[in-house]
Amino acid sequence: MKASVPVLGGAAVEVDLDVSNEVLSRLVAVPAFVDLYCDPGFPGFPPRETLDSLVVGAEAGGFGALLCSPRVEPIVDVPENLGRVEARGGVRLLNAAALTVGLGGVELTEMGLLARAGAVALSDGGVPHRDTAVLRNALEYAREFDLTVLLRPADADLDIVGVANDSAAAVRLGLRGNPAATEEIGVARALALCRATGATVHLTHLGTAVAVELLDRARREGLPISGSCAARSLLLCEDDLDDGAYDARYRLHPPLRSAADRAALVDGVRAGVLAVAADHQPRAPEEKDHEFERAVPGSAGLESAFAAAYTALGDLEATVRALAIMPREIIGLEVKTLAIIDPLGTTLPASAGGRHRADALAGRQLRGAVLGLSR
Amino acid sequence: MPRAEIEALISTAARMRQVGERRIKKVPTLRGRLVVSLFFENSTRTRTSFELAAKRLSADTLSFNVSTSSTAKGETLMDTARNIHAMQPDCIVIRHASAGAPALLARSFPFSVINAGDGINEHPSQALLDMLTMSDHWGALDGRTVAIVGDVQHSRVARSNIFGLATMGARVVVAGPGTMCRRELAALPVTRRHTIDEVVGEADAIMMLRIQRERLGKAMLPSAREYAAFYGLDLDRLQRARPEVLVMHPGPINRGVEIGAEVADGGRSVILDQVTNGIAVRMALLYHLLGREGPVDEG
Repeated sequence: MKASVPVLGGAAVEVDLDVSNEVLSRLVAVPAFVDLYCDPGFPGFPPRETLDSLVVGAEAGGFGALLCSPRVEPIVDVPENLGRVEARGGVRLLNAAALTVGLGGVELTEMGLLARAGAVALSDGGVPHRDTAVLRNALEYAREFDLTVLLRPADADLDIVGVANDSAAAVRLGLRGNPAATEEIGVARALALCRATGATVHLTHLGTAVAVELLDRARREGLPISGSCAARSLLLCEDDLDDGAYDARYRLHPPLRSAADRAALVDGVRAGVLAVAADHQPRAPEEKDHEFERAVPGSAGLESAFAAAYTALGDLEATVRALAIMPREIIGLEVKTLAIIDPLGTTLPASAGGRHRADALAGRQLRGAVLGLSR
Repeated sequence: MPRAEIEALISTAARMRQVGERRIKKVPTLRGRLVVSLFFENSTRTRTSFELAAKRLSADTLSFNVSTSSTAKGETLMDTARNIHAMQPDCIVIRHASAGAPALLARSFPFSVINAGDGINEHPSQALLDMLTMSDHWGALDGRTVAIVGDVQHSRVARSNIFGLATMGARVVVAGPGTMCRRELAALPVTRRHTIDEVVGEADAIMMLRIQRERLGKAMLPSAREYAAFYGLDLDRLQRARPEVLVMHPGPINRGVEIGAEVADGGRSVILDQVTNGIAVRMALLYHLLGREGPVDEG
């Protein structure tokens, strides 16, 4: 049935929807979301995701574009390996190319040729850089091609220590801890290199209060830097591990930080300091069916991202800014697709209708629902 | 180096070039003077160019090769120089990996010192021969635009040219990868751009710098094909340059990387003129330092 839906802050749009008049009356259209670090793990990891399941998940989650990680098989570190599919359904598939060959942090990739072949950003797929001199060179080199460099800020040596936030919760549960300093050192280093090189940097997977504070200060200083957190980290924190009985769906990397960190992330998003990503990292059931430490870290996120952020923020405009507007600015992208939102609906991640079972938010009832995309 | 000195050297070099055009390519100006070349880094063309220049002026020459000298056994630069000083040289031509090594010798010893390249700092005789080559075509360098493309950050050739050309009233535009053309170059009298396409149209001369193959595939430069795609001078790009543009290269060239073979060998290339002028400029340098007592023998 054709119906008219108001666009947030604009005119109305005609959509084809099969919903009751009551639901229809509360719908709103918003700019479709853009995932800044979608890590579908294909080709090469068929049990996790296929192109079809990825697109279905993105449409269900209101995502009009996905910036796909180069961490696929083969790694997108030469132009020949760039994804050939540019769009499927209403979803644009964008490529972040590798910053260093093999994501190894040693040799620079052919960033110019990669950009010419269609890469819209650079990233080492969340692999932290051990060699700061290489990272500095990579930023110097990337700057001249006007490509945003996505970095997961982390000290490479601390990053491999522990599986849960290094705190009282980890001690209680007897899990090896990973300190917040892992990220704090990474952020401080990234800011210093951003200032030194002038490269445009986007910090991914932020999870600590210190990171938000440092990022806020750097942005006020005028540095070309931005940052984001995963939508789930606005709702979850290390305390959820207590209830989960070592539930592997909370096995995430970087790990869930403290309640105070979570609150700082929410404040940061509300203040416009942070963008929000779905941080979609689907995992096959057999990858999660392990004791906590041995389970593969990661969680699906496309279908729950909007509702998670909206539930945590309680503000539709802030949610749309963080998931749709800021990501467009960060990668300099125009996406005209709209997402149709029911602010009073509910989302049940990884429920029977969901495609992605391994979602850290599975079992929760979240506020707000996405009805689909409109072109 | 002040403008008057550069002008004097260029003008002397132009006269010295005539010596090489004679049947007997030798004048007695520096007879009985000792010129020692002390090369701590590999060099073929600069070392032979200096030695040939000294020989054409009838100086005695002595060449120290670092691999066979006592430096390889741990002798310091100052001790090496003291030993050479004991041989009573009039001039030392030095190439060294450390910036300031020639300056150290110059202030420590009475002999003349010529810098034949010190680290990534300077290579003044190369800049002089480049300016002589430009001057052959243009006369005065004032108001000309020279594009220097490549590893400007680590090129002593680029740096000496930047200083020299600025002194002579030319405008220098540099281009190259971000790792080799950092923002800090703003401290020098240059306009910084990125790809060769951004400079090729405005230049009266395009100076291509040699890409050191050892930098390829390292964290400085991804690959030869990426370099050629964004910073290399090929025929297609040359066609977008000014018709009278000079194509220069300090050598040795990497054909197909920073410069296409058809460009290096083409009608706009003055690369081999640079080599010829190198000998003349080095003769002029030796003459100005050692031979001012008498006029150049015209015989």
